Amino acid sequence: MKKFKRVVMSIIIFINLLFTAGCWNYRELDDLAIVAGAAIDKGADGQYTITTEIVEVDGSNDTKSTSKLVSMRGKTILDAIRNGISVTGKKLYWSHCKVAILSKEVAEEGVTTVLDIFIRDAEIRNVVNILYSQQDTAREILEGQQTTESIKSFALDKILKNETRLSKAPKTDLLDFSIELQTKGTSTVIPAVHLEDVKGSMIPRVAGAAIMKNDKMVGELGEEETKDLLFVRNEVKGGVLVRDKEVGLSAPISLEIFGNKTKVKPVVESGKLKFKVEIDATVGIDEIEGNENFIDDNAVKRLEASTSKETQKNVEELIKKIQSEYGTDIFKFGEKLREKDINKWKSVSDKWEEVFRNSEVDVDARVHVKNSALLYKTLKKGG
Amino acid sequence: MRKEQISDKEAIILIMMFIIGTTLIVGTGGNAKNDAWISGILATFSFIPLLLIFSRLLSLFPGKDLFDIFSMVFGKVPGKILSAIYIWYSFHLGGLVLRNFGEFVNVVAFPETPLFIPMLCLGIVCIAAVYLGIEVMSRTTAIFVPLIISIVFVVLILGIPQLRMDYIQPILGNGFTTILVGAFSTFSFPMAETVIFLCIFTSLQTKKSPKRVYIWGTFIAASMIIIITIRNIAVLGNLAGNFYFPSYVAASRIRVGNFIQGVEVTVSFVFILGVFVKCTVCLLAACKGIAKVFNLKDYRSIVVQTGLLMIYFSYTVYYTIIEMNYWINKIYPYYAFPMQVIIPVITWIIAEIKKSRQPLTNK
Repeated sequence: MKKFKRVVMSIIIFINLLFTAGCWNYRELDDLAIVAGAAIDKGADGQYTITTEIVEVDGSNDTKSTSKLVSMRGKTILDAIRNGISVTGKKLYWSHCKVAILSKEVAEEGVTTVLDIFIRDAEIRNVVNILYSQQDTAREILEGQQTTESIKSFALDKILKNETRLSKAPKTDLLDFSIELQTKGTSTVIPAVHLEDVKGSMIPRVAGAAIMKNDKMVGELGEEETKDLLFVRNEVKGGVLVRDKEVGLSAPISLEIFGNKTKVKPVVESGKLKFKVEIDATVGIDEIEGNENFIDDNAVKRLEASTSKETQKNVEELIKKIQSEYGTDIFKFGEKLREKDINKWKSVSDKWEEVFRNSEVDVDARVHVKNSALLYKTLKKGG
Repeated sequence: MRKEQISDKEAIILIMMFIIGTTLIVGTGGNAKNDAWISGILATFSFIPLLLIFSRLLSLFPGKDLFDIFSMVFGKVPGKILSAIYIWYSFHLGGLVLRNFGEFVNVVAFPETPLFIPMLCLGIVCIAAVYLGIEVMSRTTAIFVPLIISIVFVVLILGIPQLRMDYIQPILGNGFTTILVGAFSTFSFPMAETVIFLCIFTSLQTKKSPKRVYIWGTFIAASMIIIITIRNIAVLGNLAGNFYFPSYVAASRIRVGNFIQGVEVTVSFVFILGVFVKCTVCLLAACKGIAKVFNLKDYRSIVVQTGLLMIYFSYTVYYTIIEMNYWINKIYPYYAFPMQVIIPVITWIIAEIKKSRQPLTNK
């Protein structure tokens, strides 16, 4: 009897093994099309065209991953994505998607209509970077050639991650973007990407930014302007300041930014709103092309003063330009006002654009030279 | 039969897991936006008097549960009616928690698996735990709690680079009323839900332990909830109220180097255990109540039936997660208020009066 019981039990256990051995709707790796990045365009007929970069893992001896592009069309983004099945025969797997590139048309029409699915769907992580394509279509960016990485989207992700050492483009991922979008008064910027012709091959380059008003693109910023913008937004962590004749030098010198701290203080002076922007940057002299030496104390002071003045001027110009041309608060002034003085903010928030356009901004930039790297004396050219 | 007994430590752990259980994932005080953490503090403080009343009730009648107390205080028939209300409340709450878990798994991990399957799996575990009794329940929880706490704190520390303290400001910016509304919702979910423990804490060691257990359990859980709320706001900013599961999204932001990613899975582990504890406690309370009302010898004979009913109930109670969230945010605080506050307070007042008279009548 005991033996019989044992046999029955072991049979039941073995049958159980069959049922508990795995999920009934498992997905094999080679049945998946792993999406690395997507480019979103809108055609003339109002349909979206989504181009995805799909990673192909080659399972032979040396695992090499390459990518190919798949385009699909649909009325909405999800419609287009699912239509992809009729092209690839595989269900696209979005967990590793790193970038979403928007064409100019899509950006001008409104970004939220496109990006809602990216933040809503559980499969797509919210670390997806948003990029704005300065080319005619977004697809072209993914068609470009790549130098360091075989998968372009991952390369773009890396570029944006290390962008903090360059400060020529903002880094806006999906969550940051949504938070800024939902903040009243604040407008956001998204990094721009374009193709650059390097010896005949077109290579994507991330530089500059697109200015958004609510969720619609209204203008573009150049590289240097973006850097000034990032100074105000306190997002500069590295980068290079090149100073030339404007600060009274014979040849350009490069100052490497080691750190920056910007404080924006809203002040109410006799009923009028005023913003004080205090930029405090630490730089090191890393390259001197001319013959200048900065050995004596005053020389460094002079350099600091002139560089500060130059930075201040650039930032002021940018703020003026944005205020008069676009009237979108991409500097997060409204946000700062809300944090510091909620009552004042409540009284102006309904007509914030007008208030922003007319508010006075006081920029005070201080650049500190920390060191001049290894060289104490600049090399003398020709003895 | 041997009398079941749990130590104070295990009871504290049970209360703590009960409170943080679903709240860690679902978040709390969403109405108060970036002041939700103040709402949390406020709710904790306003819960203290109620907590003292709960523990006083338990110490007034040592070894008795809420259903016994009702019949002793109000008489037999009114006591049974009140007991029925609490049976419904704990049964319903257990169903809600189970549904919450089902929706979480369905949205986050297995979109193609029917909603019923994960709920059934966890429900069966809960039934087994209740069948084995409160000792097994509390000791199982005690085994996992160190893991839970370390997961919560490791995720918290790994998330530090993602924090932006600017999002917390301006403090008190949205006015005091929103904070009060947020505090009320935090008070009713999860703090005052601990009223259910009145139904099951018949096996504490001493007369003093209810107070100790309630205070420590609430204190630990409330501080964890407040810290997590601050973390969620500092990571998600004004979006924290937009998500169903803010902690999960906040944890999914963590990216340390190239190798520590996707730690949000560990958060779901915390959620599963929290749901397990909460659901088991509710089921146990409901079963004990039914057994008391119908004068059964042991509640164990109805565990399986009640448990299965609870699973079916949780499956049918809402149509979608959208409806569920609306109900939890908008209706639940008012729905639960009588069970959480009014009835216990009235019971306590009458019990105190009766107790003070009793010595006289005895003489």
